Amino acid sequence: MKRSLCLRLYLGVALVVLLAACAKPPQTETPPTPETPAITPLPPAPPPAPTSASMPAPTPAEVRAAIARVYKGAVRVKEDGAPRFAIGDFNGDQAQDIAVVVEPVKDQLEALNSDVAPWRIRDPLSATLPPAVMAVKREEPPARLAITAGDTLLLAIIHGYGPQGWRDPEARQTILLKNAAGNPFRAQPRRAALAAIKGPTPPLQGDVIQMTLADAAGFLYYSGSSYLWYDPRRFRNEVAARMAHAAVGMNR
Amino acid sequence: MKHLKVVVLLLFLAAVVSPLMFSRSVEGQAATEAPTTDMDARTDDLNNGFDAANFDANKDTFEEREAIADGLGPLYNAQACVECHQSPDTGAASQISEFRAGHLDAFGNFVNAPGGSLINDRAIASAIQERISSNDPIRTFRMSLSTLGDGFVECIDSNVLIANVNAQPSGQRGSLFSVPVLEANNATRTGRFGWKNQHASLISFSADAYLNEMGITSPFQPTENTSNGNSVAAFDGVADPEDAAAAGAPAGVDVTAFATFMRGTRAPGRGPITAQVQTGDSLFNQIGCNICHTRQFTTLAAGTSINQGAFIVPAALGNKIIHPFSDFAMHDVGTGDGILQNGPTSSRNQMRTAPLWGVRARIRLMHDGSALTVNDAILAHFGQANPIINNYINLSTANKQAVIAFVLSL
Repeated sequence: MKRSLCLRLYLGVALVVLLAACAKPPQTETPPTPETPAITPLPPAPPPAPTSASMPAPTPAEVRAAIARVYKGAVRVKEDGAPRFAIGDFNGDQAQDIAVVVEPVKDQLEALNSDVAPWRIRDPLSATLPPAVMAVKREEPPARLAITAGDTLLLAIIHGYGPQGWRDPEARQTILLKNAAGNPFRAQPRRAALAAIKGPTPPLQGDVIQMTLADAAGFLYYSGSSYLWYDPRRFRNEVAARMAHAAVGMNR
Repeated sequence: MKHLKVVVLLLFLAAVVSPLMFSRSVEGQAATEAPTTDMDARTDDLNNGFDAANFDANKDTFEEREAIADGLGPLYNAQACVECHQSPDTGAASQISEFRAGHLDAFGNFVNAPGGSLINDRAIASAIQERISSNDPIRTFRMSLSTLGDGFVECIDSNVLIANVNAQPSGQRGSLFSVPVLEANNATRTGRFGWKNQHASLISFSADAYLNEMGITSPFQPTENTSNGNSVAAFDGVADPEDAAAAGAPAGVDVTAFATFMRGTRAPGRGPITAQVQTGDSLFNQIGCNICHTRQFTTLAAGTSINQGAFIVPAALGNKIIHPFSDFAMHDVGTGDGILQNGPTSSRNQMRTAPLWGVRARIRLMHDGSALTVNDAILAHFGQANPIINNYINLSTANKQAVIAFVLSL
């Protein structure tokens, strides 16, 4: 009798355990924990101070040193007389930049065109590079612009950083431009450039570099990712608005 | 016998209490890795478990091509979400860009192009095609972003995002700000979606995109866009909101389906990890890329109320470790497009740190697609990123290639 009772009790307990294990956990009545604002964002450090307007004019030695620091011997300042250069705030960040006419060092073409070179190569006259994206197969990315033996003159633009501008050893962002070493060659303040334009206005972020290229007097200006060529005879400021797909380097 | 009864009673109580104990131990367990997709459309592995029963239906809605009778346009950029969010899987990114423009007034304040900074590329009638005026010289393209894994991003605690930014060196510190959550009566939450961090919730993002990219109004975005500031009512035969609310979908049936689909997607998974990739992985941290491209976040626990009470973190998204390689904060790295959206004036020349997860599925990099190689994209960083980029420049050729290989494994 006792053994039978024990068995029944064990079976009963086992049943209860089984049912309890299969039971859905009870729905919580507790309201969800809210995400409560508790931390205040700290402000970032202010950007570096702008380059002083009273900076002395660059000396040829300073220009050569800056090119040597950034390009490590891959290009050199064109040495037929004084270096040709222009200074201004071309990218509009209030640090003084420099544009220098340089020549590629012939045995450095491989380094110049390296996939990991610390400069970007651009051609302001090639407005539609790379080709429209729908014509590009995924396996065949557009050919990268390259410096060739036929590129005798290039324009190296070094973006300045902080109060010392392009002279700062940390100023190493640079763009190497093909087909952009025209004459005459001088910087023009953004405001003056805008005032002189008759017709559609390009989106100027900073000062411009005036010159004559391809028989047209115009200027180079920074677009945010490259330097583009403004030819007043051809510039139309409506081209980009109807592009369904980005075309890098378009006048925009 | 009495002793036996006590034992039985104790066992009974233990059996009743054990499920409660079990459920609490689940809630308290350690965070686990979020499920990932292999970024291969041939594999049906997109769903993370959230609303699995409706995932395919929601995906179909995301892929559905809208027509004029559905409310498409009158101004629009695409006929379906999937047109821009497609490669390699539905929900990912593409080469499609949108176009924005504006100008500065005499006081230096940003002013949208007439009708808004977004200039739509398409219209249902040529008469209302939007155009750009020379009065609006500030212009930019914005590449389509991947939405894969965005449900996890939505479930990151705002405090965690802020604490992460506060721990960054002040020279590289990002900015975060709060934006309206449309489905919570515009109560605000820390923004995290879009190139300008203009949204904090996926319902808000979906309603915005449905209106601005496809021209379809919904309860939280009930007003049609204009064509360069001019009404297009004469071209619009569908009553607003074109995507109407329904039971369980106050934001609109389609908008809710889009958000639910995105919440249901897995995070982008890694590509092959070679020895070179592992070297680049270490260098990525050593040179400081990880300061802004934050490697890891853990989402809030399931059951937490987010989006100002409009969404409860579900089990599939809660307590998950993700690797977005973004701090979801705004930075000035010299690439700012000059366009102001939901943020403060200072955000005009800032862009959100692009999440690098899934970047191997892209060719056009940076917000405007202007960089075609990883090296070019790295060199495009300046401003706040200058010290880090100089660290990269100082690397040997082999180490630069390793960093690039690592990025292309993400």
